[in-house]
Amino acid sequence: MSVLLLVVTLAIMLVTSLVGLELEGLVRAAANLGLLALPLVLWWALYYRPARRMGRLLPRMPTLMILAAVFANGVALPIIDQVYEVDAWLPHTSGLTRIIGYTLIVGFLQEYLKFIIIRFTVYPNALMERADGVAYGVAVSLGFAALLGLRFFIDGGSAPLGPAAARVTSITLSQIAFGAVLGYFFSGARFARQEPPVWWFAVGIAVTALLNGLYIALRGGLIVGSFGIGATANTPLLALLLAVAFALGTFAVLGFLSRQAEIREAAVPGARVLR
Amino acid sequence: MTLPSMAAGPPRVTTTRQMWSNLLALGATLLALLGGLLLRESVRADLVLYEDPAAGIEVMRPAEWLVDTQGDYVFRLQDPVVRPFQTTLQVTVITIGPDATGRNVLDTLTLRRSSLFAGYQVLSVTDPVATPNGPAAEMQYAFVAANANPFLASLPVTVRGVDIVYRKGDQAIIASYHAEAEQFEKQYFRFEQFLSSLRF
Repeated sequence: MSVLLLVVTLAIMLVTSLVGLELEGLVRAAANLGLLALPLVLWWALYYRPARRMGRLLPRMPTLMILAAVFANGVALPIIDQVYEVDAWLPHTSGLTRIIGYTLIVGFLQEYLKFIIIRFTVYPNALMERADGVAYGVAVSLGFAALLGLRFFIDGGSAPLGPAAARVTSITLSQIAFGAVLGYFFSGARFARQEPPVWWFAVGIAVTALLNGLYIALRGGLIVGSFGIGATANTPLLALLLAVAFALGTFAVLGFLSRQAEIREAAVPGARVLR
Repeated sequence: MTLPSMAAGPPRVTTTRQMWSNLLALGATLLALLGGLLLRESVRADLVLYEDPAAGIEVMRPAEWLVDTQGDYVFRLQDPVVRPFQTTLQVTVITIGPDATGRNVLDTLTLRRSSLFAGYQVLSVTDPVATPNGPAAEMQYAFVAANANPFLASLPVTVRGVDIVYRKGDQAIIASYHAEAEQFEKQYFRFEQFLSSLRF
């Protein structure tokens, strides 16, 4: 899904750049809606529909996505934008302060909301395989990403189609990566042979929050934070590449850790414990 | 204590450890948000308002930086800690003709500085650039600064600078940032902070 999303986004960027396409009015609004819907449509086509056909569909996924969007719009963004007014002071501080600030405020808040959505709805009953935790994490993050993308268009609104596609895809890929990490901790708790320690989820949220902080600080501060045409000309593509690298790196590490966990489980005799 | 579950299967019992785990996750998040609040206050406390009513300019400046209003500028702020070249933020206002462009102002600055600064060299000129106060003209340059005190032997340093030129009626408002080349990127956030709070 991530690869297809990236390919479509690059194609949109290339075509709009070559043709010099500039959309206005209703056509632009329709194109923006299409961009917002693209990750969800791909998720539906590549995950939801095949899983339903094979009878392997995890319960309540669309509900969780909607819940995530509601939490993002009703809790996360008001606190970040209106209580902390993050955009007014944090983007212009030093790199380290940005990482710490985004981790503490944006990262912890968003990841805790994702945590409680999964923890108090589908966890632990619905997780039957190790990959299910990641699948739920990704679904919740897609709901978050859809809302963040929508707010990008409502608040900013006037970005050309190519950069807008890059922005929406960057948001989606990064959120998917964060959701996958959080989902890994859910799977770890569910399929561990011993009950996980009390700090397990707190550490999971902290790790994911730190990834949030690193990503936002890198994207906002090092790539799109500085002004000047020379500094911003290639930023949508750079931001997109950063998100791709982040997502690929995250999935590579998670894949490795999951395989190692499965190997360890297989080596120990006795039935698997679900909790 | 049982928790309702939207998934299939019987409701599961939450163990004491799971309850503590949930509470610890909540506690960690609340602590982080409290830390974020403290961080915001600390960043804001680092800045104080500087106003020049005569020039109609106000800006948030680093509290510990030195203010100088004695030169051919509205004000100059210098970091007293950094050596050998003190990182500088400066605002200058000059009168311009009705048809003058940002580029004209930058050319004038270049002519003037070529005779003032050793090794003065323009690195780039961009017009317009997007800034927090709207479109402006930008020039980046470098020069060599030597210690003015002949009794203090020290090597000259390479300084990088950037000017942002705003037009306002018959005035050009020039916001400048100078820093030792090695400090330039590191301290650049100061200039971004400065520009984002600059009102004229």
